[in-house]
Amino acid sequence: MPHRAFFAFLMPSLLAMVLFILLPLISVGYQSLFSPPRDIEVLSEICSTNFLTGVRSCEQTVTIEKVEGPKIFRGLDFFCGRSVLACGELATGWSENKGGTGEYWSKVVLNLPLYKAMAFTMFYTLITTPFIIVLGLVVALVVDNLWRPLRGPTIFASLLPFIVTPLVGSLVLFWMTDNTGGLLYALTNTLAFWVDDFSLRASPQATWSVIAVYGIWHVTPFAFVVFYAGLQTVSQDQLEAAMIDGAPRFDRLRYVILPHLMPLITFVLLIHIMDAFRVLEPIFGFQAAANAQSVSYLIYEHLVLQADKRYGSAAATSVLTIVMVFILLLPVLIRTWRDFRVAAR
Amino acid sequence: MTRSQPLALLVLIYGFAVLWVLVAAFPFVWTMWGSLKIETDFFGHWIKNLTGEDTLRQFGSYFTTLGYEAAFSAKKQFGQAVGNTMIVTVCTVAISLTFGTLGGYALARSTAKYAFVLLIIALVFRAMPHITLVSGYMEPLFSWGIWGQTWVAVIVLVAINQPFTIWMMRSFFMNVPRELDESAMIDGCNRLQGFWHVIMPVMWPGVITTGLFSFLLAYNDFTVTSALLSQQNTTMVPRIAGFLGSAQNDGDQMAAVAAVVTATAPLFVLIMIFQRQLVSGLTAGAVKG
Repeated sequence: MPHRAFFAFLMPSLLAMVLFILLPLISVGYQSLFSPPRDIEVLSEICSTNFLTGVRSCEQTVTIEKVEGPKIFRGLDFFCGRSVLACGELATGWSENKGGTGEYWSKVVLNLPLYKAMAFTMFYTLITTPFIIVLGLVVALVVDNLWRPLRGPTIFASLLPFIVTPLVGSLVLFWMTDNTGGLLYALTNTLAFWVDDFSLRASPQATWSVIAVYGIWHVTPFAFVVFYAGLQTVSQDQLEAAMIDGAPRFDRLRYVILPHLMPLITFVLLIHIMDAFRVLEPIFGFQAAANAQSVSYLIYEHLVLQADKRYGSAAATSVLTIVMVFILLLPVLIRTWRDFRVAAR
Repeated sequence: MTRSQPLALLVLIYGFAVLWVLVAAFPFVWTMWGSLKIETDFFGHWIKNLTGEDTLRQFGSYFTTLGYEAAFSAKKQFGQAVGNTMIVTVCTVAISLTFGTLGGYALARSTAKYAFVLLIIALVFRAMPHITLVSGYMEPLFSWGIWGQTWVAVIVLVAINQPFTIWMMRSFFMNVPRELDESAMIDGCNRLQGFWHVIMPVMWPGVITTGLFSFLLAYNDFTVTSALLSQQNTTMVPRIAGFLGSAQNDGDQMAAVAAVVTATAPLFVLIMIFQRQLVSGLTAGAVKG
């Protein structure tokens, strides 16, 4: 395709992406380093002499004066702020720490917002990923073996948790778990009979687990659909050859089907890990903000929930998130680039 | 695989299928059923949600539309949010598809190196959490005084949608043989005419599939719409989130339940009609990267 035609066709899309993705990304970087001059507090003294007694008295008032002017370079101030990397808090915590490293982590590091959010993100990813992969695989194998007319309706039901708006999905589960008469509340209390009055807002652990359960429920359908499509392309010849060789069912699964699905498993894994940084709606849906905050939630809090918007902290957190996602993405980028080079040859 | 299975395995398979369908779909059915009850039934003991005893006592009927009336009342104005959602999603899908189809076609037909570089960059953009982009918008939008307007949110959603849309459209265009372009151009079409009269007629399935995902992104969005739209222009999902804060105060949680069901209903219909396209679209992304 000639260069001119190429850019003519791509122009609207390119323009949209440059103006509303690339520039905002640059803007995030800029905002994390520069901010408008801070408002200053002006101390003024108003003195008056009482004309009856002749005593002179003074009253001090503080007025906040808006300062106009160009943005000022803040260096790493925002990155080191308490709500982001908290350099100062980490340092003083370390020097005042009398317990071991473990105590330093639990008492100092994990009480700081960003580190707490990172811990939540890691917990969420580590707990949900194996469930999503295994459950997705099992559901795919089960649906693949169902009587054909039943497959359509099963796929329909399976798609619901994934397609339905995340806030709606989490609310629907929340309402069944939270109130003491709720069906899921009753169910979990019957199953977990050794826990006296299981409540999901009782402790951070309970809240984190409930959000992880929501995550599994929400993403398993996606894994299922991808694996199910993969199962349709398993080589029938190979399967038959394995059967003629007398390979039992489990061996066929292990040596023929799983290797075939491996690239898809990696794909689901990758998408899911990157999406862990996006977890936001369930925090609202499960009213979990007191116990669980994700990285996205922290940024959202600075930007939207705070009356006095903290653009600098939001931008600094965003920059760190972008870097982390980029690093996770790097292997895929390299692989995709290689595929292109091979295809172009 | 339609080989005969031993009975025990069949029982296991069907048992698991039933369990999974229940886990996936039952919460929605439960909430829909409960949205037609009063608060003490839905938020009371679960047996009361089944039998609706308080609803029966109060209204002489097992069902009431009280929650829906509250949601669509002048005070809660969920109807306004439904209208806003329709505007935002229709505009986003229309513009996304127009841009994405043109761009996807160009990317599918070019073998130049910069085309691949652009695709890789688009992949990076697609991976960014939306909130990080929103934090780039907020301050400029406020300082230019255009925060809160519907068209701003539409443009932002279109842009966020583009990386995904061009990748998906590209993979559909790759399946249309190049010879079709060439024959059209030999017959005297210019590139745009050839694109419109020869390529597009065979591309509609791809356009519909990509359109579905653009629709879902706009419809399900919480981050962009809740951060960038003013109260009056807000769409359904942020409005529901707004109900949550106020629900405890005025004891009107059923309005939130009714709103949730209202927002889910179109998605039910969508999945029912377009199940095949949704499945193929989800997989297209997996196979093509």
